[in-house]
Amino acid sequence: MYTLLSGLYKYMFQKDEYCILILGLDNAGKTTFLEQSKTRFNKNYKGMSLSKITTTVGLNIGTVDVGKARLMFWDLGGQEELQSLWDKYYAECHGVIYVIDSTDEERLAESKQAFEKVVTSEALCGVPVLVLANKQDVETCLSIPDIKTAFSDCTSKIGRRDCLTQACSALTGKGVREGIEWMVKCVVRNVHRPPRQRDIT
Amino acid sequence: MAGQFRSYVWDPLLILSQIVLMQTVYYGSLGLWLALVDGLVRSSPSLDQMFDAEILGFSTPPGRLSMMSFILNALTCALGLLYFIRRGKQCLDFTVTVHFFHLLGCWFYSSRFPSALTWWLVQAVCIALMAVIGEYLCMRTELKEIPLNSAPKSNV
Repeated sequence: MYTLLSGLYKYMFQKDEYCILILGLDNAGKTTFLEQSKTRFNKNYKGMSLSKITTTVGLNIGTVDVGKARLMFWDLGGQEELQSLWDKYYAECHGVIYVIDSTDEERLAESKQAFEKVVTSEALCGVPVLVLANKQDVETCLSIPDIKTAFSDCTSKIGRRDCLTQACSALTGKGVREGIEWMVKCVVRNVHRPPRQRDIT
Repeated sequence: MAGQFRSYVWDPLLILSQIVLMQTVYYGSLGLWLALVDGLVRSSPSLDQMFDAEILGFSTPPGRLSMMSFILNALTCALGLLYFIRRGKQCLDFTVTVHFFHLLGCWFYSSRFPSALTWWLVQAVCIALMAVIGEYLCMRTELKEIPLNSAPKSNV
């Protein structure tokens, strides 16, 4: 009886859960973006000092509530050795946030290569992708048109999915809310990947 | 989407059918125990033994026999929990549910709320026995090691 009633309560009032991968090369600003997201969307969250963020070995997990959806972020390490682990998370995810360091022109080709691998993966077919051109607070950064030009030959490989390139600064928080709100809109309407079935018994 | 290990999704139809099944097991086995006990002492079986709260007690032979049947029934129902519920986590829930419906049954049958202290005592003992034994049996099943190789072990 308790199982039945508590399950009914949770079924009616518990938020739909979506898993979002945060990918990109090392030092692109993925963990800073995650921390900024948690600070922006979780009222009582006292964010860690952004200057203390170090290289991610493995992954960081963060949960954010946006409207009727609950986003579970998986911030995966971006170092070359860790990129081979990314595909292990594809089957369970509902959306991908790909972070690019707009100030690092030298590694843009490397970032494009990693991005290509992500969007061509069969396990991510139809999954919405948000491309974040991060570090827009730095004067010498590449603009959105520059990045779009550099990534132009990836356009055909993106396929039939929601995709947005968004300027942002994880450090200042500019563009973070807009990006996440767009992602929520996309994962909610994506019928091919329904929300995660939660253990509610 | 890949399924998560041991992820239980709320299935109201399954839970309702488990409640009905456990209630059936409860009354089925209680009926059998009462019939068996009544047969041994050549007493005539009656629904009063099942639903009349005033009958249970230490003072009369039918009262003692009914009490014994209820206690034995708790052990049988623990097996019901093992076979039909299978989750230690839910044993107490289903035990209390079964006894709650039995309380309603007694109330409806006698047209008055059960007030006999002995009846409440017996129900409490039955709940404790059924839940603890059921949980123990379920836990034992849940904690069985998972065989990783299907091939028989070779004697080296």
